[in-house]
Amino acid sequence: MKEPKVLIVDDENLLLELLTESFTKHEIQNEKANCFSVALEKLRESSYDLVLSDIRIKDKAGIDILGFLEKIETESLMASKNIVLMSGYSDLDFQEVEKMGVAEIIAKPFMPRKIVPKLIKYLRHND
Amino acid sequence: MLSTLDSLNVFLVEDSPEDVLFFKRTLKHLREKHPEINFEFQHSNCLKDALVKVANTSFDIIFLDLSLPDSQKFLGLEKLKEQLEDHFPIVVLTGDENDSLALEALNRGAQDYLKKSEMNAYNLSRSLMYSLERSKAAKELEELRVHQAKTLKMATLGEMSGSIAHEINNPLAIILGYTDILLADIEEGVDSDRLKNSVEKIEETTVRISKIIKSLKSYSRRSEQDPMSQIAFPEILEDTLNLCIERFKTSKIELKIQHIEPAHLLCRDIQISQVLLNLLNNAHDAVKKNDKAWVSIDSSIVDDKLKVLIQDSGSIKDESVRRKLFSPFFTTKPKGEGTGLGMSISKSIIENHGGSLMLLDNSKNTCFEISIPIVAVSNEKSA
Repeated sequence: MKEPKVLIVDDENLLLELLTESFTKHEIQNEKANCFSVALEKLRESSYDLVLSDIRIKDKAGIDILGFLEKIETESLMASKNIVLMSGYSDLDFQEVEKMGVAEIIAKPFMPRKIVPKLIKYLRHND
Repeated sequence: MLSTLDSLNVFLVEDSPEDVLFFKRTLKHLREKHPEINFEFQHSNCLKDALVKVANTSFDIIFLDLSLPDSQKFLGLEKLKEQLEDHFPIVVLTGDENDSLALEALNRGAQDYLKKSEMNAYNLSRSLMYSLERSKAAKELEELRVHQAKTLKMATLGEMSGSIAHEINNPLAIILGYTDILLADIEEGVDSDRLKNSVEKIEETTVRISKIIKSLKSYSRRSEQDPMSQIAFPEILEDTLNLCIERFKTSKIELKIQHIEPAHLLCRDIQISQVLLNLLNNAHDAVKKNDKAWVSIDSSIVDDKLKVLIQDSGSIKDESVRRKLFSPFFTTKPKGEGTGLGMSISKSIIENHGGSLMLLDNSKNTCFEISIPIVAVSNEKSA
């Protein structure tokens, strides 16, 4: 069985570093992307078991979270549908986002120590 | 209505002795009709003397002849208005049967006019009452506008609260993350370089949050009574951008910061910030649904004035919109989103600073120009 892999998407570089470090510490393979477009490229190249992404990101190609989720859906980029979103605040209707097949929305700020083990459970659950 | 008053200090500026006498006689009739009111009366026969009296006495209403030995047409009205509070009731007296002069006086801030040929107790009392009421209404409207300016400021903050929350929660997430790492590292006994890195990141990120809070705090406090102080334009702009940059980021509108003059202004910086924020937010809302939207800020110095250009990728083609832009309560935003007061308040703030705010006619895109006097700064740091 192949090792589970996580894709972390955020435009806050420090936060990307932190989350990368937390997953690595739990010996979970992970990759980072600082915008939705880069994340989509990565998803097309390789398969991931969990996508952890911020809701509001300045994207180089102008894609927003709904566009991102739609691309994942139409191109069947995620077999497992394990998508967890992070949000500091959003004007978006959460129900609309959840309709797009999102597993969970977690609020920023959070403690990686508590959140990461919870996210890892998603991976185990899926095995 | 006059009977609601218990005293009335009337001042007449009139050079013709016959007209003064006639006015006094009319006032006497009025006294008889209203014995409950204590009428006081003073009189000057030239503008020079009138200005001295106005400076030393508190009158309730002034009747001003438009033709005086030392003042013709509107000079007297203008000079008196300079010394009096806004909307002070001045009634102009005209001997002219032609109404145009009197109407022009109303345009220039007189509350009413009275033709000498029509002067009688009834007309005088009507004019007194009408002018006092109009003056009171104008003052109330002014108070309402000040109140609404405050409301507008809070509404703008409300609209931005989402982006502000995002802007604060992101660095908080970083801080919590690093404290997490710190705790784990301390338990594991990691070397001090790694600990130091975490602490530095926490420090840096805390400063980032405190900057946002500082901008927010200064923006929301009352600023109308602040004394003018000397402050560099880039500082004001930075405080403003701290509050709205996230909004632009979220809407994917490119914010182009062009040349920023290091000029100093003598101003109420929070008010200037309020104007900048209002123009930036309007520009944001105007182009947020467009492709490749941008908003730019540029500045230059022309004739001892700082010119700030705030331009966006949209344009205002509707001539009636261009004309009404600065009118109170005019808005193109959907119901409930705009108060229609932002532009009129911005204009009056800039004008109170001795500057001007206008929409440029010769620009392809929507472009507002703020022009505001700068102060010279010596090399030594000034207060």
